[in-house]
Amino acid sequence: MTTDDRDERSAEQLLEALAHGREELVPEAVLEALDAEDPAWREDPAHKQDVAVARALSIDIGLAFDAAPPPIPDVSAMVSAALAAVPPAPSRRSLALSGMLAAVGAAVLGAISFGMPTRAELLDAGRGMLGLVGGLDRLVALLPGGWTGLAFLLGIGVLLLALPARAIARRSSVAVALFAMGIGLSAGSVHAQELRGVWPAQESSVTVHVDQARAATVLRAATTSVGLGLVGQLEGDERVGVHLDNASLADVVRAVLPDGYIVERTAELLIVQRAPTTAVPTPAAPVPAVPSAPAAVPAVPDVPVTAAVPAVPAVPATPTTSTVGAIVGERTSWGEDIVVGLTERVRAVTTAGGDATILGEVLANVVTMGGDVHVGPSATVRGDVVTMGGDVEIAPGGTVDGRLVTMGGEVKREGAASEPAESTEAPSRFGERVAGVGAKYALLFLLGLVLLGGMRERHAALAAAVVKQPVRAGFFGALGLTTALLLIVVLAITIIGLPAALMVGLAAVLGIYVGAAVVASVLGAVLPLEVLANRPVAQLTAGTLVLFAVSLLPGFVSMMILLVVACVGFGAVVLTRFGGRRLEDT
Amino acid sequence: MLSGILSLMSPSAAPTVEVADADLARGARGGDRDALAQLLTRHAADIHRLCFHVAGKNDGPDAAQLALEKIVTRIDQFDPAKGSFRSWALTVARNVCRDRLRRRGLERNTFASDGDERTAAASGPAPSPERLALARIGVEDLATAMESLPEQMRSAIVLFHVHGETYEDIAKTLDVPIGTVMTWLHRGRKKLRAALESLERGSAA
Repeated sequence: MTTDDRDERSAEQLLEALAHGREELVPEAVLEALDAEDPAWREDPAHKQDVAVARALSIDIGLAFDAAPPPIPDVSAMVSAALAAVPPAPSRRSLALSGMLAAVGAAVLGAISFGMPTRAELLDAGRGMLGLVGGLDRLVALLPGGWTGLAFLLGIGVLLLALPARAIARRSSVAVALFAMGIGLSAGSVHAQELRGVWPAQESSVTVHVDQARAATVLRAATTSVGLGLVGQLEGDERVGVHLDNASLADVVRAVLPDGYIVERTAELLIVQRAPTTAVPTPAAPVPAVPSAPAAVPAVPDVPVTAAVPAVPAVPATPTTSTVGAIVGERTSWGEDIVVGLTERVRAVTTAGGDATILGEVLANVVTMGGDVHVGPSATVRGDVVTMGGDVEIAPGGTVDGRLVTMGGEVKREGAASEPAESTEAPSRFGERVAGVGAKYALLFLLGLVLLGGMRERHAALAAAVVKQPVRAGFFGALGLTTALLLIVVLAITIIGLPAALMVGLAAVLGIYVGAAVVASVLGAVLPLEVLANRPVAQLTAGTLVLFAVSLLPGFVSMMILLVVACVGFGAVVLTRFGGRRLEDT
Repeated sequence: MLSGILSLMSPSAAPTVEVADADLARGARGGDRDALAQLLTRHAADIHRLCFHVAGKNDGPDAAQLALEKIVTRIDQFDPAKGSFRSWALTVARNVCRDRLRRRGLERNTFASDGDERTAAASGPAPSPERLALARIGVEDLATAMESLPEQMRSAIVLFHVHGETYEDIAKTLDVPIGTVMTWLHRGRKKLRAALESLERGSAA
């Protein structure tokens, strides 16, 4: 603000105060300055005129407002509508009590529907999860940048979601929190090489000066300078420039090697190999195949190495892995089938979006996500077979020493009837089915309580959308769900889009459940029962029970009604941006 | 009228209403819907007036209704230690109006200079009630003229001239210093007068 601006403001405030008889509001400094300039300023005719003008204008404006009053509102109707639009706040006691009951109910019903797990089943489930986690780790390592790359993608996704999230929440803290989470995940996921063996702390005998040299060449020079042989397999052809004097071998390794390698130092050798998640080319057809040999370390350095590096002796030959019956490491792929040939022995097999056919021997686990596992007649899997969303088919003679754990699939043994997966035994009796459905609705009730207790304004906005424009909400809900489905399919086609597809899927599921919880509240509110009046928790309870009863109706009827509920609820979520704004404002 | 305005500028408000409001607000915060209904009934007209003049004649009624709903939703956030219920309710209403203006893109025009724009167009000769015939201004023209003011000035003028709030109360409601309120009022009146003159000239032509 300039001095002129300040002076103008001071003058305006002076006139405003004097015109309305509030001289005490004029800052002392202003009065002192005026007194110093002209002690008789109050009697100045021009000043008096200014004050009179300001006072007259104030009167004029007051008259204008008096003469043009707005239409008189129907206060009673306004108040009634406001009270009706916002249900009374539930008491903390009722929220806590209801929440506790619902949580216990959900747990009990869930336990009934699934059956109480035995210790062995719990162990199996744990093993299955471990297998999945291990498989996921191998799969992610195939992505560009591994976990770092995935975290980067996640960070991007979080940032992309942060803006809409901020619009939804209308609070910058959400965006900031998401951003911080993305940064944290990115930072936390960074990993480098893994050094194994004995690495002398005081070693500083490596001197290397090279430019535009392959990493393998530099390593070879470095290991030679400390009297070690080099064995290993390096991918890629990136060239590096290294200028080090009296550095430790560990520093050279860290500087030269990209992430994702394990470097083991023995008394005589430095062994470099990819982390256990190394990708091995997958044969295209289900025939016994011999994997290609890994690239050997270049035999002769082809770059200028300074005199500080002694002459490089012959490097021990890199062992090949194509020998029949030799262990060839692990097989990991995204979106492609994997076949372990009749004569092959591999450590582990992991696929996402592809089938695994085992004809030879797998020493550890076979894990598939979204793919089936076929175990051939003479195949052997020493570890577990874990599938998520896929079946396991075992031919006569095929052996699986470990456990068969499928999630959403079944185990088929050729020549025998299908058997349910160990961890996905579906409830066969009506009571168990009812308990399972009841557990889901108990969770829905809990979600409704969270909305009522912690997001009352959003709940009110969502409920208003459901009540005032159910058809529009239903239309937008159907449209939104269809769009989300298409988006997920399109995003899931590419590996890069998978995290985004996952986020869209999670958002859609959350939206459906939030919408359904609000619809349950509305259903309870419209029930003609006096006992429910002005009792939001009771209304939610009644509405949830109605939906629960509907879900037990015969298949098609139940499905159609619940589909409508899902569309209307999801539409309300879309139209109000998760309750962030009123329908009138959209 | 002048005496009325000057008397309304007194810092003290009507004590009986204030006490009753405080009691009702206490009950409303405790979940008493009847107390809340009484409070709303008492202040709904003021809220409607504020919204009518600030959000405009078309949006005003909807904004007032939404403001009432927000008051119902957020009654537990009202803190009697920070001011009267009326002041808090008018703050809620004013925020609703501001949000609506912002969402309709009007903020770009009316908030452009955050209430600090020069009022050169309004610096004409001294006002003359006879010449302006302000007392005969219709509600439509007044609403149209009000739309030419930044939202803060609108709120300040309505709170001062329609609701009879003091500078202190307005400052509290709008969450700005008293000096800023005085500046907004001074400039806002000039700008409003200019807009009314312009409308009058247009209708005369």
